[in-house]
Amino acid sequence: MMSTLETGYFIWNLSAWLKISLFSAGVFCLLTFIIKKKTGGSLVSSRTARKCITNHEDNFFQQNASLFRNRIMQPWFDLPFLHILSITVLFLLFIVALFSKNGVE
Amino acid sequence: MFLFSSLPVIPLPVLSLLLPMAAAFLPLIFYIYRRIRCWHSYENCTYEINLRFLKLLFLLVLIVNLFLTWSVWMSMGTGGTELFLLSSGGWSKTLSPGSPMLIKAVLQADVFGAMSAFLMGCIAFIAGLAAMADRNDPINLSKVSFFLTTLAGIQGIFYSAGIFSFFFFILISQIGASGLIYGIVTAKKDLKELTWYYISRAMALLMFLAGGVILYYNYKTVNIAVLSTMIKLGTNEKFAYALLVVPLLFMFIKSSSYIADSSKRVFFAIRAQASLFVVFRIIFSLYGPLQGLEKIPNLFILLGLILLVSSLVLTAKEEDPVKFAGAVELFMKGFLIVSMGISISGTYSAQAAAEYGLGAIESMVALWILFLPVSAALSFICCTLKQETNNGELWTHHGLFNEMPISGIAFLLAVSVIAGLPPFVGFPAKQFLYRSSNYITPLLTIFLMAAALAVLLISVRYISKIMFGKPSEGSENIRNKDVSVIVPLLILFGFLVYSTVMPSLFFDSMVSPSVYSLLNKGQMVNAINQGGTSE
Repeated sequence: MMSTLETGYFIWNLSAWLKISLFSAGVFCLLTFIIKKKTGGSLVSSRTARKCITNHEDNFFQQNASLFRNRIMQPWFDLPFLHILSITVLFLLFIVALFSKNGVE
Repeated sequence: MFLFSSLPVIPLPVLSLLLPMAAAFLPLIFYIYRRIRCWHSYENCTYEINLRFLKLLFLLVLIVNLFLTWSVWMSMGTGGTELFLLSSGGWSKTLSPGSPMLIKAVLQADVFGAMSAFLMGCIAFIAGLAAMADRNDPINLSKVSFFLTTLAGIQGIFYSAGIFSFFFFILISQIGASGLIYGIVTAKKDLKELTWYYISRAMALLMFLAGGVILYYNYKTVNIAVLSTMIKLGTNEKFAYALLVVPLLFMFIKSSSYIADSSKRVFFAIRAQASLFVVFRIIFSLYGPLQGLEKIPNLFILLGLILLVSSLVLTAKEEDPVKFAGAVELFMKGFLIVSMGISISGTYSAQAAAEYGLGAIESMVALWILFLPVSAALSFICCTLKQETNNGELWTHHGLFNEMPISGIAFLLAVSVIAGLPPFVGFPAKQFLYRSSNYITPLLTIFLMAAALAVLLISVRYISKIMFGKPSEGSENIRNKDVSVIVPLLILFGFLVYSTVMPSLFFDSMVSPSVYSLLNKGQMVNAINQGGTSE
């Protein structure tokens, strides 16, 4: 493996990044080992595991993201003229960015 | 006649362009011939072309195309722009605005275009192999014809020197792409259903043409090399900018409809990449950092962030593998557009360029190169997972790793590259972007890193569910479902592993020369005035 990455503009030390990655992986493995040792071979202690539901429901982000996708985004995706609308909106955004005088330094 | 007389001295890029174009017409001629023969036959017309011959022709064209594009790329070296002119005096390499010659065609070959054409040739070859091995949807005459038409159109885009030639080849690739999705539509009912699709594509093409016409009206040329030396930003040029960039940006973001055929999906990814290539040419090679375009970088960053958020929303709780692949591709597109915004912002001053601009452009080009192999790998894996089995689609069975180990590993590798997980090749590309975005605002860097982490977690969760989840009843009958895509996957796997192990070679041979040829207008001016390669 190359030890450095030179692109003409930047020199990037690959071996240093590899060491950081290996070190992080080592720390991660050590933590996992300690947790497993303390919980008797399981990542989650048996007391906590009793409170967990095996077939857990989706988390907060997934539930809301799914709701947002189905209720807000999907009706737009189903519009037959969505492509024309998208091109028009993109064009208007570019026109505003090109001709607006506000915010120019 | 003139074309035939010029054949013995035909330049290599022209030859590599003519081959897929000619080959695209050959199946079309067969198709028209068959239609004519069956025109008045009211009983079932059984005239069929030999499928083995068709496959051989298709494979041969893809291999020769690969060899020719590789030769053009190798002949370009590390820099320089070459123009190839077909004029009344034959092929030459010198172009000037006041040239007395009657110019019939101009081709531009530089490292960026030549490398792109070769990369596209490789992926098209892989997609062709997958299409020929597909037993669910066997290859036929119209499929080959539309594949080659799309290929010819995209090949032309990479060697185009002017806006009208861009338009011509985008039109060709659009014909091929429309044919790949919907085939040849003749029924009135189908035509009615597709009206909005055709109107949107016609609108996009007309907008691009209008942008070219505005520039031609003002400067009497549409050659990008010549225009870049003359252009001054006024109202007309601003309108032309929007008209040229918007349709191609749209084609890049919305490259295809929902389609579960892997080889077709790969061709749409190639087309998306080619659309962005045109946007790069217009933004960086034609306009450059002109005063009056200062807000454009912010707009690109905003659009990129919208795409990133949309992709995260679309990937969350998505179970359909093809939709999941589409959402992950949208994530890559979001990153690319953000990197484009930062790159444009970094070209406005020497200080900005030195601090972060060039790094951002390198990141943008690296992400752009990786987009195609990664989305091709995703297409092969996810379309395989969509295959029908006796008990529903393959992905519904879960616990598929033992039956599809190559797909499982390739899926994980593709996702790691997309998320920029070290030490995979996506990381050097994203690392340059993180460093550059920090100069815009540290919040942007944090958001980009958080988005990459989120997509990695969502994807790993999805892969673990599909590959290592509890197998459903009846899944024991599934045997090696990824056999038909093993060869394409192994080739893509090889490319990603090679560029991961040898990132220096990846950057030195593909990324840096492309950045140089994309930005260096001086070499384009030299190509106009003196002809030939210049450093």
